[in-house]
Amino acid sequence: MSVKAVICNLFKEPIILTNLIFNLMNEEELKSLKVDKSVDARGTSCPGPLLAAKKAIGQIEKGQIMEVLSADEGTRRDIPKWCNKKGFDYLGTLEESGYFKIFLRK
Amino acid sequence: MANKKLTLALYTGSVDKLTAAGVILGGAAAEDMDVDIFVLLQAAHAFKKENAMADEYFAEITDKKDEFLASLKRLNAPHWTEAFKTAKEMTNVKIHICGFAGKVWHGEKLDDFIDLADDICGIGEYISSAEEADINLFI
Repeated sequence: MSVKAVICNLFKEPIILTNLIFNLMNEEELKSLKVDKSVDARGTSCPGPLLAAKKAIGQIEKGQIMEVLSADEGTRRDIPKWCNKKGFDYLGTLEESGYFKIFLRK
Repeated sequence: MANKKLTLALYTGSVDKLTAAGVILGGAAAEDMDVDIFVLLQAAHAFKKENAMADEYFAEITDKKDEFLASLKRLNAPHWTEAFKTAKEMTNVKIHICGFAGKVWHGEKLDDFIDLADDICGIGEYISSAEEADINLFI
């Protein structure tokens, strides 16, 4: 059993918090990440960004990094939740001017 | 682990509720759900080839229709037919036209309806589908 699974079981908490503890990077680390796939969903509203992320994730390999650019508030929580459901690693969110960037690892 | 199942009883023919259904389908598609849509009465009217893009009806606060349609453009949101089509491309979606509803609007065969529709069915199929679904909606 992975360490993550042990912690989840131990504290009986959903994977979200554990994922955050293990994967969340700080601003410096996020800014210097080598991104394998960039999804610019700034022109669309929910569920646009989520579907764009889903389409794009099929185009990268396991272990690769994807960033999703969005200005849609709902997307901010949708994507980390989706990562947890699908077993991807949510790495963090960077605030930019008028939009944000979500980083995840497949 | 098997995909979760969504059964949608789509009754409405108004553009706002159809748009909402489209967004919900988007969410289901993101989760790889298996979706069964049953197009009932007023929706069957909207699914007819000559009506689908008419955007004629708006539920409840009827004088807000123009503002709604303008906002869709402004927000770059797709028409409900596009949203349904996208969901179909991303996950398993079957769209069944209720036979009786079709007949009410003189839609006798599948070809009278937009290409999104897969087949014409009866009430038995809806009940079976709803029995097995994880999520059951009536819009």
